[in-house]
Amino acid sequence: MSQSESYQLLLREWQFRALEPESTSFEDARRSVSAQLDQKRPLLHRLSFEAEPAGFALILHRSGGRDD
Amino acid sequence: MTDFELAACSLNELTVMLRDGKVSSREITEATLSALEHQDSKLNLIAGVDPEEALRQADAADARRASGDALGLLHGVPLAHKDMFYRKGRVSGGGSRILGEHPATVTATVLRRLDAAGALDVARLNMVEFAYGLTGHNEITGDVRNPWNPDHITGGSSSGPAAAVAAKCLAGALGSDTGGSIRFPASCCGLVGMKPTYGRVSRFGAMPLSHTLDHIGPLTRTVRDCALITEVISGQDAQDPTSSHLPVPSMVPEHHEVAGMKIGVPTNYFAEVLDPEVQECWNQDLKRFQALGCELVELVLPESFFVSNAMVNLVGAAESSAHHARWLRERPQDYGAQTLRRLQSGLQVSAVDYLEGLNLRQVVLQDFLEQGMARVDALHVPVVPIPVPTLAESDIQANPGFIEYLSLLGHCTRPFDFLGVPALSIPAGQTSNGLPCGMQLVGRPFSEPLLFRLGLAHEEALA
Repeated sequence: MSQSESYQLLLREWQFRALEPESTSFEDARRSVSAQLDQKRPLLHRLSFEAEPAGFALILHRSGGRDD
Repeated sequence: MTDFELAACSLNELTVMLRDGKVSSREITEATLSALEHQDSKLNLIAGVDPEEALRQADAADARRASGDALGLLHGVPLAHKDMFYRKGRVSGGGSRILGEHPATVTATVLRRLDAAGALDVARLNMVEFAYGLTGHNEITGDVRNPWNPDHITGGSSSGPAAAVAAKCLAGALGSDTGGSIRFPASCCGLVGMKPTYGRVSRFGAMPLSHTLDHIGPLTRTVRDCALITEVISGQDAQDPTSSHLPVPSMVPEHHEVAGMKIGVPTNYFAEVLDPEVQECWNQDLKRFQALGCELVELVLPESFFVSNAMVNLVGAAESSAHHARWLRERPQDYGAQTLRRLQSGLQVSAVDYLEGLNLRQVVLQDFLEQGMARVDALHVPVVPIPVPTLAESDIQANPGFIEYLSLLGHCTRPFDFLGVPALSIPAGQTSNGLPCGMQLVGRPFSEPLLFRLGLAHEEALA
């Protein structure tokens, strides 16, 4: 299934669920964040090992001011 | 010239007319207040306005001009901004029931810089509750409506600024961008919107949402106006330790020669979620840059780029919940449902996940600069992945799946908040529903002047 099809499915799903407001909860919101994070977990762990000492701001500035 | 025609002038036009004595600041301000009042009844723009104070500022500007004093770049021009920039002694509501209960004790640096340039601050404009949302809905203050078609969203969270500028009440307004909140409404309303490099513009005195992701920038109808306001508000600020020490270059392009510049076109990540109509707008807009003599360079974004949207969700959720922790404990009933659910979800983010997210930022940025930007001057990608929806069809509130839905909407904008690189949203046509469709030019850190030059060339090609 393409992302675009997933999006359409998701739209239909929440439009349907909107009819059942009692199904919304804090737990739903928490699960949404956790689920997104879990999807990325393998990549996150690989990237964690690649973190270098140079900080974010340092990299921004080191590569800044090249143009104009 | 009628009031509406005067209010509809660009910053560039207004400053010239003021300089040449063809119009007074009072006349422009009266026209602006009249246009705001007229459009507010249809679009729900205004969070607060004090006409007497606005006219007092205008008269003072006219008196100073008459005295022969040296004047700032924006002297006597009325502007109005998202209701989240603090001014000492004035309330800022932040689109909420909570924030506007007490007058501010400080003035935001961006407002002080606009004041110093001579701009007038004539109204506070509606926004998404606490700037936490991309569609523009607000169950506390009501939804702002899109001037192109009031049944459709303006996009958010800078909904009022986008609608006021698109409705030609003002030449420009400040917004903020944590996940796309300048570029997304700029795209939905056919405007130019700049999210500057992280550190380019001080955030002191602006309502925080997520302090490592928040950016401040303007929404305007023209590229030159956007560049001018960006230049005025940029620069190091002792009150914001994250602001950059780099000198501020001239942002307003002196020419629009872009032949030979390399425009990067990612073949992965963006196309995966695009509606076919937005894809078609993208293709057509790339042809415009090609016609301007730019070289289109297809490229593959690194795998690490793909975590950036999720990281904005994670880092943003944790930081925004921390900013709101006290109110979440004491006043949960005063939040709108969607804002409350999102803020509560952030309370569950572990410190380990949050710190991991922050650490990853440098890796993702390094990869992006070395692999994504190495061979090109700027990227060209869409802003909103779908045609601008109606208010009704995108009113997801806090229903299950709303976080995923917002993530999809922010798919194209959020990565550049995480990366901190500058991104300029430009109008690029319309979809079949008659609503605008924008594209963004994304540059290396601190390359705003180059993006404005590309944007100006594009604007003149479209005219």
